[in-house]
Formats: sequence, C-alpha cells, structure tokens
Amino acid sequence: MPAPLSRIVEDHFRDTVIGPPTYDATGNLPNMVVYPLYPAALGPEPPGMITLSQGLRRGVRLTDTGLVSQVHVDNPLAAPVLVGESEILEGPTQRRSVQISCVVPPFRRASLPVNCVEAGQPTQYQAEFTGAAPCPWYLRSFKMEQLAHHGESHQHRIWERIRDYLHHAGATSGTQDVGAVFATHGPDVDSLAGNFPLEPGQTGAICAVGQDVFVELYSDPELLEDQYDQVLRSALVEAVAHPTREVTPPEQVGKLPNSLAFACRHSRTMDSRSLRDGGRSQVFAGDGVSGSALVTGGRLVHLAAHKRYWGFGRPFADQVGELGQQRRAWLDENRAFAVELGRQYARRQREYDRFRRGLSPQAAPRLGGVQDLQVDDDGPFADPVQAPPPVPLSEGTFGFFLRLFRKG
Amino acid sequence: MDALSSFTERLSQTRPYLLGVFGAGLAIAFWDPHPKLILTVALGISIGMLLLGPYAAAALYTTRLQYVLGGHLRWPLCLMLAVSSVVLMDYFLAWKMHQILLGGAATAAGTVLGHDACLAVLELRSSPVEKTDPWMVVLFPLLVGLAVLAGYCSLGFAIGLYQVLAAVVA
Repeated sequence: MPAPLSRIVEDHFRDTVIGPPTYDATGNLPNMVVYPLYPAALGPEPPGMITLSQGLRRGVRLTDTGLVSQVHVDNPLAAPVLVGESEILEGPTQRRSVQISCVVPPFRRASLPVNCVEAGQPTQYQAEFTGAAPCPWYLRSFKMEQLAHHGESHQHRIWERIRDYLHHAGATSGTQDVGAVFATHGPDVDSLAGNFPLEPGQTGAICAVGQDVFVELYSDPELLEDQYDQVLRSALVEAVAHPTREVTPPEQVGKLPNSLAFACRHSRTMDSRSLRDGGRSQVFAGDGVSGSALVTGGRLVHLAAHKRYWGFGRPFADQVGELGQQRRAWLDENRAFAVELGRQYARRQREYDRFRRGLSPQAAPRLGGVQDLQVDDDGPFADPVQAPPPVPLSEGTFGFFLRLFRKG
Repeated sequence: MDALSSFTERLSQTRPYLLGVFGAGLAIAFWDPHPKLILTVALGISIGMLLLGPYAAAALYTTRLQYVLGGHLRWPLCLMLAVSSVVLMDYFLAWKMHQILLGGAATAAGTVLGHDACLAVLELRSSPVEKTDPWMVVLFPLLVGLAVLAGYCSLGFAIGLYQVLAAVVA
C-alpha cells in the first residue's frame, strides 16, 4: 500500500533546510521575500529524468489534439520527462497550461490533461508546441483548488478567472492570453529577477508575496535548475502586478511545512489513464492551502502549493532589519553546509550534463531493457516502437465526431 | 457544436448530414423502388459505421499493420474491408451489379466514417477530463441508416397521399 502523501511531505520537509531570506535590498520590491530550500544531505546520484523544457530541445513532441483539454506528448527519449504543473505550452496554436505534474515514461506516447489559457485563440489540430513558459500563481492556485474540491477544473471558470486577472493586472490581450501579464510586466520582472539568484544545491523556493506564500519543491537540484526561471517568474509576476508594501513575516513562513503536511491529509489522486505508471499525482486543499504533488516510487518529485496568510502580513519596512539579521545569522551558521552542498552539487551537475548530452530521439528496443518497463494500457496510443500515430482518414469527419460524441 | 451542448443540441447540428442521407434515400426510391436496394444501402452504411470502421481501426492500431506503408495503409484497408464484405454478401445472396456497386459505395462510406468515429471515441476516452456520450456513439449510425429508409419511404408516402387527395377531390 502506498504511503500517504501527508507522511511523504512531512518526511521530505524533515530532510529539507529552509534557507536565508532573500529580498530586494533597494526596497523596490517591498512585497516579496524568497526563502531557498536545500536538501539536508545531497545524494551522489543525479536524477535519471529531465524536465519538459529540456525534453523539447531533445526531440520530445507535444502536439495539439484539437481538444481544448488535451495535448499529445511523444517521448522518444530513453529517459522519463517531468512535466510540471501549470507549465504553459506555447506554439502556433491555442496556449494550454498543464493541469497536474506528471512523468512521461521513456518511449511513451500519452495524453496530457491541460487547460486552455487563451480563450480567443482556436485550436489547431496537430500543431506542435515548441516551448514552455511560466504560469502566474494567481491562476495556478485557482486551478489547484478546483481540482482538489471537484476533481476537475471547469474550463469556463478558468477563462473567467483569466479575464478578471488580466483586468486587475492591467494587462490586455485580444485573445485573453494569460501570458499577456508577462508581456505587460515583463521588463520589471526581468530587472527584479536578479535579486533572487539560484543557489548551488537548491531544490526549491518559498516565495512570500504580499500575504500569500507560494512554495515549489523538487526532488533534485538539477530539476529545479532547469525550472528555476519559471518558478521565480510565476511568483515574481504576482509581486509586480499586485504591488503592496506588506509581506508575510518569517515566523509564519516557518510554519508552512506543517500546514502543508496537514492539508495533504485530505488529498485527491488525479487518475491519468495514459500516465498511470509515471507516478501518482495528487491535489489537496484545506486550511488556506491548495497544492499539488507528484510522487513516484514513494518519493516526492515535485510539490507546488499556495497558502494564504491573510491578516498576517506586516510592512516590509518594519521587517527589513530583522530579515537582514536572519540572513547574516543563517549564512554564518551554515557556511560549512553551503560549501559542502555546493561541492557535491558541482560533481552531480557534471554527471547530469553527461547524461543529458547522451539523450537523443531513438526507437525503443524491441526486446528486453526499457520495453519491459512499459505497460500497454493505452490501447493504440501506447505502442513502444516508433509506430506512425493513428491518423484519421479525414480530419473534417474526425473533428465532427469529436464534437458530436463529447458529452457536455 | 461546443463541448457544453446537450444531446439534442448536438444532434440538431447533424441535420444537414441526415438531410443529405434522406435525399439519397429519396433518390434511390425514384431510381429503383425495389426494397432490396434501399435495405442494402441502409444496412451497408450502418454496419460500415458500427462494425467495419471500428474493426478496421482495431486491426490497424493494435497489430503490426500500423507499420506497413508508414501508416498509410488505412485507406486501402478500409476500402478492402468494405468491398470484401459486399463481395461476400453477393456470394450468399446473388446480388445484381447495381446493387453490388451501391452497397459497396455505401459500405465504404460507412467504414470510412466508422474509422474516424472510432478514433474520435478513443481520443475522448484517453482524456481524463473529457466524457464520451455512448448514446450518441450508438444512435448516430443507426439514425443515418434510418434517415436513408425515411427518404425512401417518403416517396411512397407522398404518392399514397397524392392518390388519396386525388380520389377525394375527384
């Protein structure tokens, strides 16, 4: 029987160290403080998986199915690919946001559950997505709440949410694209991102933005390194788009791991038929927390969560002295730990780079090896060898039947 | 037709197609009113959609056939399946040439539609969020067959009505 998520999260945070508060010392961003998360001990082995952004550069293909809620992924690599919750898929078609974190096993074709984040843009059947972009936390936490409460996120509510969000953030988009907020606030986000550099060995970050706290945690620092830009921008855009002078104080941030473990007690497993053997994706909400987690082999691979600390915020100006003191104290106390972590990480990084360089699209072996790991549970979409995908005889009739047979 | 529409709304959107099939039934009634012909067409199109199309899809995508011709075997396979079924029926029922041709065309059209409908159902079923409407999946092919029959019967109905009205007037 798999371990409950609350215990996995509790154990993971027990082995995680909350780093020193990082903030914009010039005071230009008085509503954001970032706390890096470090593993208490870093193992010698780098992860055997890559992120979606890396995968796309190495032959992973994401194609539009023509359905608003679904995107096809084809992983021709010999390594699993981690697709992060809410990553926005970009391409010459309607932009989508991945619904839950999941792992696409090697040599696997599958369907990814997604949400449309660009209501005014029609879908283009079989158009390819070429990149992944960050999704603002405002939308992410709403989606997580929807999933945790109802088991699905209603598309029309997401569109409504995006419309309100763009309005409040002062962004305009002819196609109601949530990414417009980055177009509007991009220059500010770019200039402020330098205040929060990625530290060697870091596996996650807690971002206190106003009276909200966003946390994102990966199993390995290599995965965070690939995703850090997205992790940071996802939170930073909220700080820029909704400027305040208050921020959640460090003593509340310190209570976050317990709140998360508590909220995880009432989690919901999201069943993805085509990625069943790629891990367990769970969503949870309660006690002001909403989040999602991906667990494979009893290990937490990715956790993303949001907690509201409404009413606990204090002016940044009142806290800046205390934050600076805490930062200096942490760095003094943990100097040896940081140096050792950096050294171990550098060694792993070299190995991980070699692993990534060795990945290229290939046909799956027909006998033994990786093929043995595959479970043929997807009918025609799960053939391990590079078979041509099922193609309709006429795209017109296929689209007609898709619309006709889809239950509202 | 959007994802949120009801069964009747979605069905009403198929009206042009059903009217087209109805017209084909009517045309057959004008051409050759023998019921054999219209039954061949109605059964051919329904069976093509319900049985032969899904069978072709299953044969292609769950066997090694998918690798043949780089995935382009689907057209020849669907047509071959339809034609061979008609030839088999002809062997048992000794059809006339025009019945074979019409039955072949109707079955081939039904098989092509059934293949694409089958892929659409698989696509929807592979999604964790989309729901398939099983009633529509079963009823639409039957409705197409019934629409052909309705077109055929409407001619007899119209002639009968004309004669009744003519008798009343006379």
